[in-house]
Amino acid sequence: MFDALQSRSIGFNSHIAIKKGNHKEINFYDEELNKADDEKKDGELASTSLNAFDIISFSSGLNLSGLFDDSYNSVDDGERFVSTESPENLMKKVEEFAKEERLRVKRRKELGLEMEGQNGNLMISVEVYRLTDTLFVVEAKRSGGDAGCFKETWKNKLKPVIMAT
Amino acid sequence: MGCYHSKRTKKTPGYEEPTVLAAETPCEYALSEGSLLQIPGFTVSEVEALYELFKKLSSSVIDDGLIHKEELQLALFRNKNKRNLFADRIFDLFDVKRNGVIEFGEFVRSLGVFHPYAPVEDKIHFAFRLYDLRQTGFIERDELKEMVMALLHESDLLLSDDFVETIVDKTFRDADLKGDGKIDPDEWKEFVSKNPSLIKNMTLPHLNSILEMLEFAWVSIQELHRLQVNHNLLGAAKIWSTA
Repeated sequence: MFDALQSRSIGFNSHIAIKKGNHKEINFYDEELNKADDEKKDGELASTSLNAFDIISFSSGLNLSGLFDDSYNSVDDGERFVSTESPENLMKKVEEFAKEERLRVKRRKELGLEMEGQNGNLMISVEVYRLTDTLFVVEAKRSGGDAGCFKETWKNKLKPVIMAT
Repeated sequence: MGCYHSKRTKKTPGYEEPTVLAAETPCEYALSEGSLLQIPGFTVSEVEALYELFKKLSSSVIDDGLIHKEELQLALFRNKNKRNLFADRIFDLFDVKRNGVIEFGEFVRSLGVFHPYAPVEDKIHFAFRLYDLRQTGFIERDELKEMVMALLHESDLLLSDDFVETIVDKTFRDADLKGDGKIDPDEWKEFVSKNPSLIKNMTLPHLNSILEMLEFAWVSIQELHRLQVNHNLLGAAKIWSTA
């Protein structure tokens, strides 16, 4: 049992926990949201669009994971922007990026995916939300792994790909 | 069983014994609704782990064993001076006594709602109170618009005022079933049941396992014996100590 726990250990940088060797970061984000999305009925177009409360819940002031994870930084660990490009096109671009960079796609949804690479140091999740039929919110988040890796890959590689017309 | 011996170190103001808090987190909510279900909440050792976290957070700017607004801002945004409407709301809800600081007991009780096993009704109601900016008992249309504007201001999302009006209108139409211009707790419950992702922020999915790891990182074999009641580790501890 102790071994099982050890393999789930988190590396905290604070004095309150001893860093265990050979750890893998736990994915703090999105598990509950993914479940809810999967359970949404298909015919309800209205419910697949973001409502005002969905938009509000993007706030980092409402994300208490930051209290527990010293390495989490709401500013550097993700970005959201509005796009007029079709989500299908966007997802295609992201998939191609994953292939070119040899990243493993860990989880795939209709309008989102999570990819991993560089021996687990890089973990990015990209998700597209519908605001209207022509306006979408693209969200890229660090879903684990190293913050520096994410920042570098997102800013210099993936973001330019997504934003290119 | 499992004699709990309190550490003789100085405790923070508003400190409450872990055994008391463990008994009162999520279980309290079940009992207050008239049901006698024992819902698992924080264990004693999880509350002790939370105390370590609390000590760290509460000493980060002003070392007085109380969490001030700046210290919450520092923890959430890595910037103690960053103002944020939603962090303000979180702070106000956690500060149950409304004395301008979050004490340990308030910290644990409020975090209890975010536990994966906490009752969904509690999460729904907490979110409602969060969004009821002026605490009128209703979420008014102008409060909703204010929150959307605050989010746009905080993030990189650029949306026109017209567009914001449209989205707020639509949301209100969908949620305000009675059509009286405000969302009451029942309408909110109904709206959340149709849009469950609205309360995703109300659960910290790995809260229980995070706390488990915090415990194990600093626990000694002697304390493993003490924790035996909660985690039945004595077997593992014996194996470990003879290895």
